[in-house]
Amino acid sequence: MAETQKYHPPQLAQRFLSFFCSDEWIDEVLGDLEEQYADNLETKTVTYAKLLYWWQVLRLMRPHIFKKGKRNSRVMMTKNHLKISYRNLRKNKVYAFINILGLSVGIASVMLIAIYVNYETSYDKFYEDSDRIHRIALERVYPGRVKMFGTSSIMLAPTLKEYYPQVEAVTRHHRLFFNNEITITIQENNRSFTETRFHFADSSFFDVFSHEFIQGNPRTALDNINGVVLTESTAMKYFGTTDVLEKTISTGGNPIQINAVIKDIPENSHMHFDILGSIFSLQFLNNAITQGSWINPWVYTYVKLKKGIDPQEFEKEFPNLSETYGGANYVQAQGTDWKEQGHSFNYFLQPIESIHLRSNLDVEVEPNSDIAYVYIITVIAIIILTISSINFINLSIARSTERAKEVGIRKVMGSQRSALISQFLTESIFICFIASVLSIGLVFISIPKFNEILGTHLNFSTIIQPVGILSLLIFIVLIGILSGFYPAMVISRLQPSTVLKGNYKSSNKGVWLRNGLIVVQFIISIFMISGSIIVGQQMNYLLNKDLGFNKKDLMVIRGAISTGDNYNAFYNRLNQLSEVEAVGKTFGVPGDFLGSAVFEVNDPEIDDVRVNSLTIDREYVTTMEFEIVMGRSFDINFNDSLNILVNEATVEAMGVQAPIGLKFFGGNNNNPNGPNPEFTIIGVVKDYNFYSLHSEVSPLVMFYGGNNFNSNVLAIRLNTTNIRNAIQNIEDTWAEFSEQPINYSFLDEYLDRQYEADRSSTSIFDIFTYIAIIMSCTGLFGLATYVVNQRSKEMSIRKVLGASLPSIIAVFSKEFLILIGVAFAVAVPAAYFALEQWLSDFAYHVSIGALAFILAGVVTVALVFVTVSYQGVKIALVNPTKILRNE
Amino acid sequence: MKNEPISNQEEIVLLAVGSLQPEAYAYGIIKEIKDETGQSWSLGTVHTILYRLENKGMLKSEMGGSSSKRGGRSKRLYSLSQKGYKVMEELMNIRQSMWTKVATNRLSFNG
Repeated sequence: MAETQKYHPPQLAQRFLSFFCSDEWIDEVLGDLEEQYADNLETKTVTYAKLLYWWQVLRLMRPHIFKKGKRNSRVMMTKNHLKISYRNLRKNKVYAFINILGLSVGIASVMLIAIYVNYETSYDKFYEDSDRIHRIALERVYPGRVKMFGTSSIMLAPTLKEYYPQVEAVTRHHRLFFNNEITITIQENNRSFTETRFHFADSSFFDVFSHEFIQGNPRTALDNINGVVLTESTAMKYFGTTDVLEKTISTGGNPIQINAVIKDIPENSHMHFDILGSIFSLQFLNNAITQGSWINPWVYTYVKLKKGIDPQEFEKEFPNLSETYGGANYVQAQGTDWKEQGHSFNYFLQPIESIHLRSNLDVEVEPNSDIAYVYIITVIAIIILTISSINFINLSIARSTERAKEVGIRKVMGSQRSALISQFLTESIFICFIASVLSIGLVFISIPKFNEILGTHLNFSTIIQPVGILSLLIFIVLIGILSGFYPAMVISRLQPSTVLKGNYKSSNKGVWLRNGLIVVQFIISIFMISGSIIVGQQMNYLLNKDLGFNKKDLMVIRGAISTGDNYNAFYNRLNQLSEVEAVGKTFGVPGDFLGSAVFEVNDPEIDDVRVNSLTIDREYVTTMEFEIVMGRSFDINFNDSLNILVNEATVEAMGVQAPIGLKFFGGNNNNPNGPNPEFTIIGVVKDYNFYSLHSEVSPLVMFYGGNNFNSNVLAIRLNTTNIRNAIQNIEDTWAEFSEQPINYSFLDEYLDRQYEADRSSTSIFDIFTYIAIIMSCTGLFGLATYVVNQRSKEMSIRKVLGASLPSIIAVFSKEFLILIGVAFAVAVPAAYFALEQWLSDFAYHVSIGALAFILAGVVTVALVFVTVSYQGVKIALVNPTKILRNE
Repeated sequence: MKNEPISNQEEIVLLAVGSLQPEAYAYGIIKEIKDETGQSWSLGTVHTILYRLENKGMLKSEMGGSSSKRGGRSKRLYSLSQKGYKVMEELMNIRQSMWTKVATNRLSFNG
């Protein structure tokens, strides 16, 4: 007995019970419960017994046990309220349809966007201690300009590890920046694959990043130079099993051994690889380590700080670190006065959790998203929800005419105002509930489509978690109360004596609010419509702009050097194919990453110029259809090995009128002791966009590749309409000379991919624009119903006096036109500034014309006219006697 | 006398009250039902049925008999009314007579 006394029954449950249980019953019920609890304690655990107690209390919520009183009679009325709500919905199906559908679209949009935001902010949080992992990025200041690198010096990691006790673990990570295609051959089953996500890291990689190992040991996985780690799906792709430890595969003839297999990297990481090798297996990185190079930012450095280390404090060590350990190397590369020249190397920390949304540096591991998208899309969610709530309010008020008699009767029967308010709130929560159930279905249907458009991997199960369900419930009640409150106040205020006499007319008090809400909707509609028109124009512009070369029918073959000694034979055979018009050799086609260098010019008046550089052959210029605006192109009749072509941007950067004949030298500035040839400008190429249209064309120098120039990339101009045939012939030719699989693409498709992120954000924008417009229309429909009902008698009198149908509708529409006018005046400047902001991200963009706004205005007016006319015609066609006979 | 329809659950509660009398209170009835049928009925269920039966005039109740296990709270002790007893008796008679027919009917079960 003493023991059971120790464990009291849950007091909260007891209190809850006495809250609803009437005094008549409370004593015996508590007694029974306590006895049962004591019995349960003998056989069950305390927690379980307490749960059972709670369960019994909940099961006791029965009508006859409830307290009798005003409060509880209202609880009893809830059932009646729900019944009335249901009957009302059934009575007016159009109204119910618009209301529920509108709300459910609104709620579904919000849910979808909540899932999206949740996903976007979850990046890299699955790593253990992800809050302590940072990437060290580099702000590289050159004389006169700054470049932000996600990468850092190869010497940074060892320095940190050796001299900084704040660091728990540090690792270097490298992805191949230029040609990232690596062919993997598996002797065992004689297959080969082209991998683009072959990354490299230090053996300490898994000390920083907690990957789950299926096979192998994280400590030793990358210990030897030729060992690699595969992801699960890569292992399955190669061997059909993950039991692949110590198996050998090879790349370019070098055998490599599989040391470990890890689980696939979750989608919400900023870094994905299929195969991870040792950083020491790359010769150029080994060289950089031997040289102790602090100049070249060639690797990503990730650091895990010890517990309790403040990253901001730690960051303060970097200026000192960079100079102490890298100083000697800076002097070697830039001279003793490197600081005075304006060079500096500023390292800083980026928490990895923030990389996906907040980091947009040069040389990221993968293209990142932008926190701005998250903000924009959140704003859109709020807008859509606002519209649907406004609709709900307007429709409810519009319908209050029909409910007036019910309210009158209820009041006569003794209902209090608070009871009526709670009735209408119950009703709106009820409608919200139905809408939510529907919206869950909508989300379920639309998630795959959403993923397809955005390229995300959202999961429906996010909603089904308890947090999701709970927030949805709170959300339902909140929206129900917010949108039901005002109508409830209006309706419950009606006086039974006037209402029941039959001449109900709502007061003019609410007119400003209603008109205000409608104006807000028009503003949103006009904003969204004009926005989507201009965004559409810009996307069209991007895809069709003259880029300075012909991107149509241009095939690009990569990995051509794998033909080895057969290179020339392959090249010649290609040229002989009837479908091939020209073949150009190049280091890279437009859209590829180009290296850059600083050149001095042999004219003391002209400053040094920083240019992107590209090595090509003679035919490349004709293949791409570049336009030579000055001088000549590379020519077979000249020895062009030390001649160069520049683009117009270079000429502009030099600030000269006659660039032909000027000489460039000093380009090899990483190695001052190396050869330093002079290059003569022989021609100027019209600017062409070698990167995406996000950036302006910058200076470019094209070197001549010489006679034995075997480029990895071949640009092939096709002259046939039968593309499929051409591909087949080229593939066959390739197969004769190379054992590797052919890797080709078409330039136009390749370039279009640069705008994928833009396209997905704009298509999302489009979809939600449609939703917003449709919902504004339904809201308008509701309001038109209301106004027309209010003025039906006026209309009938006009009709009796001889007004024509069009003139009646014109009277109706006039009121709305004023509202549209107000909305237009607000929406246009807002849209203009927002769009200008968006367009400024593109170096080449359309200008914002008046057309888009005019069109948006016309569309809105047309929509209003259609909806209002529909209602107007309905009333106007009714025989006036039917409406006027009450008088 | 007209047959007043009662549910199976109500019947079981009536039977339990009859067998536990004079110590028939809600939790005791739950235990009795658990012992006899193996089913766990919630307190709410039993309370509702007792309330209903009392309204129908088949049960009477009075307060009394507390124990320290209940935290000193008193029980509501139920007892059968004459009407209640009659209803039960009638039910039993109907069943008895029908069972006799079933028993003499020599049923066979072949699947």
